[in-house]
Amino acid sequence: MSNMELNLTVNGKKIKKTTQSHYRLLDFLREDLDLTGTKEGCGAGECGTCSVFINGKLVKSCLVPAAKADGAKIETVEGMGNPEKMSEIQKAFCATGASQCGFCIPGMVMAATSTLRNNPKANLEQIKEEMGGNICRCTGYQKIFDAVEMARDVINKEKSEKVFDEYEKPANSFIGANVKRIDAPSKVTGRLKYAADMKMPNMLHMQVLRSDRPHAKILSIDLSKAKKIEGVRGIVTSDDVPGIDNFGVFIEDQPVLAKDKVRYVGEAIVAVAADTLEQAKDAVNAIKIKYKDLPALYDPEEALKEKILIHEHYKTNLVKHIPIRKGNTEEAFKKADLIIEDEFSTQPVEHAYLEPMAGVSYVDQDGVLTIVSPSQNITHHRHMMAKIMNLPIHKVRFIMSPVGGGFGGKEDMIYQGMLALLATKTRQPIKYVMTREEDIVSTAKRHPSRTKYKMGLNKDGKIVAAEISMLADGGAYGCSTEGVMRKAAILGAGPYNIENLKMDTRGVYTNNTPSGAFRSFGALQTEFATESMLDIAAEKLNMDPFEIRRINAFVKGNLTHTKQELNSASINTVLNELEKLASWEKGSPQSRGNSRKDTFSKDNRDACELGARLKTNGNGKRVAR
Amino acid sequence: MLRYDNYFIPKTLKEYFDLTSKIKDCRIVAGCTDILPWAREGRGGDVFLKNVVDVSRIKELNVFKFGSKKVLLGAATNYQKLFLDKKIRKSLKVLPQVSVWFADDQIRELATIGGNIVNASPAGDGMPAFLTLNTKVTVASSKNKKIIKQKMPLEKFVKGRNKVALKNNDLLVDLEVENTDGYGACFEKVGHRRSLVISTVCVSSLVKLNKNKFQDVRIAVGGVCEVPTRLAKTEKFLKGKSIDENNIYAASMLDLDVIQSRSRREYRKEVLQNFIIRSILKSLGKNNVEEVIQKFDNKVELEMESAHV
Repeated sequence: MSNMELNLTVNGKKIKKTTQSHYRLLDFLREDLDLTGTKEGCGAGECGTCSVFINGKLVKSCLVPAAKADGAKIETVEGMGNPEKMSEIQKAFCATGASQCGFCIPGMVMAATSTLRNNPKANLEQIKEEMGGNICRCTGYQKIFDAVEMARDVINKEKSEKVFDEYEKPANSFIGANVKRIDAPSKVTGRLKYAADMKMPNMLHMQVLRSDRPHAKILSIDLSKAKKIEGVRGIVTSDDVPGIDNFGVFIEDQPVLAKDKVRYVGEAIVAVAADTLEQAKDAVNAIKIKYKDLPALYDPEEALKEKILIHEHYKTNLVKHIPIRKGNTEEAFKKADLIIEDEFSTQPVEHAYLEPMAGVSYVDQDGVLTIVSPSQNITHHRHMMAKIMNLPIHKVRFIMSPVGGGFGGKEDMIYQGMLALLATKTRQPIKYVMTREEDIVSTAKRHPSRTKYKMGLNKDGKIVAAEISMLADGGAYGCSTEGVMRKAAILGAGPYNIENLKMDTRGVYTNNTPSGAFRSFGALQTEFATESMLDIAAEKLNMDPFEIRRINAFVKGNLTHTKQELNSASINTVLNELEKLASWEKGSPQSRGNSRKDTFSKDNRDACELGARLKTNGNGKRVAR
Repeated sequence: MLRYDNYFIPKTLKEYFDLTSKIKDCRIVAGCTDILPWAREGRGGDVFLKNVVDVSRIKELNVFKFGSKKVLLGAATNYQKLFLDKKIRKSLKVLPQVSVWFADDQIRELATIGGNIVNASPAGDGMPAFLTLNTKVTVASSKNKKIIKQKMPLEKFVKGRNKVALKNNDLLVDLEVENTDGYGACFEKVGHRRSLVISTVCVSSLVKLNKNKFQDVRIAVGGVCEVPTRLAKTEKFLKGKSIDENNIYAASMLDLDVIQSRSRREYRKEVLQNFIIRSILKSLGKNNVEEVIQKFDNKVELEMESAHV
């Protein structure tokens, strides 16, 4: 490991510092200068969380070797302002509520600053174009663009600074009120510390050896070379777990580190702590594992056949089957005027929170094992950890660091166990930050699903019966599969009063990446099928899609699919509002365009009916063109 | 993770050759926008290099000489310069158009034209544009402590996928392009998020008119074959012909066999043909070229003069 000396100016301060030769500008700013407002979201120049100015030009500091910055003037988000003295752009970001999780925001503030410096009168399209290198997962960008436009207008004296302070005092409810976000200044100035930004004295860096096999028996783990690497302070495997080695949001079936066999590509096998990140990486690369490959399961239909078992001791691949029975579907189908059957499938989805998984662990002066991480589920994690570490509950503490986006992805305790083992073993603080690639390969995704649907309706559009069966790929471990199956079953038939319902949701183990919690938690997959079926039904019955939903919508007094009596129901209010907002044109799906006033004019297409171009002939009849 | 012991930044060609004749084990870099994302899991993994030599600050690689016939661009010229420079915008219209499609403002500040060419990626966006500009490259090499410069056409320099005519510590110094003032130009590329997308198909075209006839037509394609290439039959067919949509359509079919890609061939074929037609029309100033360009434009007003003005 060799060093180099850098002489440069950072946020107006002259800096002379020896650093590691291979550091990127991002590493130098974060590790050596503790300027952690500059974040690392991807490390590959794609997300823009690390944007800084070099000699006035905005660049992504993950793509800049630190040596290139020698002699340069660097500006980071810390140089743009501080929570007491923010720039116009930072104030505008607070005012419009542009900072949500806040992880992309320092980069966004830098990109906005660059945009307005280059073009103080930038219009919305130009703002979008120049900020195109930065991505945000929470806001949908609207609030960010609003902020840049607001700042531009204040800087150009077209608006008063008062716009930064137009908050409302909530009367009876916060809902609907534009209230001040307390943590916004710390986020827009880059001062808020996420887990990856934290440092402690004597802190070690953790790296993880992960499986490159989908399903294999671990024959041996050779740590001899890794142990000899300079700076290595601790190595842990499944053998180091003192307590009951399993965790999971609903079913506790996942070991902290792979035990005897691996069940998916990306599963953790060995964790190493060393003085530096580089030493920990070297140690991981020096570990040799011998595997015996096992036949693997990738298809949930195959999983149901149970020729291969992912967790042998369960004697089944079924994680959870949730059945709901209401009325008698068989009898009801006999009386239906229309029966439609179809199949729907959905794919796995990555949460893509901009903050990769990260955490810090330490054992404090009273022997309390402490884990700091952006966990969305700390109380449950604490209980599981006490059991895994064989500690009384009062000797385990979880601190929730700011969550740089979660969307359900940070509900699983996927890496905190390794942090606990190494902090306990070395009695030094441990830090772990996943790379984007590691995060994508090892963490849970949205459940991919296949739904078989049979729906029976009357001529007037009333649903008389529905049979819905969903099969979901739960991946290698249970994670949130049970809960997701429950929600999929309970909510999947939609907010509709269906008297005869047969609903089954099944989640199974495979050797795919585990599936877990993700916004909507299973309801999306089955409701997607239900809503699609209603559109198909509307077309077949020549009905307005809104109307067919109103006819079936829950009203006060109805029984839900699980037979709970409803004291209130708001679906019709929502439908009416939606119809208004969408400028909905009434009519069945196959007659779009008939009542629109902007068709039939010189410059517009004629209305389409059933895919054919029609015109009105001399007798007033609609005929094909 | 990319690791190295030494990072050298020579300032002149002499310094560069003095240095690289002493240290044998070295990797040459310029903008570093490819090597850093490459040295990560799933691609290069953990990469160890002894020495890295950064050529982006070598004086000779940063020349910019604007002549009425030829323009000399140093190999370390970055894409943001191609995007913003007023002279380039007027007389080398195809270059700012490529730049719009070339990553985002922040990456364009770092990425160099030389690096893009030397990488010799089949999907590199710079290559088709420089082919249409009849580019000649200068390669410097060192023999007995003397620096020898050799000029060659770009077609000869890029020999295949990731293969260029550089030996030992030879260095690409500059690109000499034709001043194409008076030509209409167009660059087309498939992709959703312009800041990231890697070309599936890209087409670069230059068109010069004489009254209502094609005097000169140059079209190059990238993303569909080992090395981006000019479409000789299409160009030849159109030269001297009258500007007529039927002629353009007939020409667009002649070179579709250039596609070598293994995946999505039919799709690429359809896109390529559409791109040939569109790029010629746009080079002619038709089809609201200004509107499209202005949408992308965010700094200096780009005056897209059509070729016949």
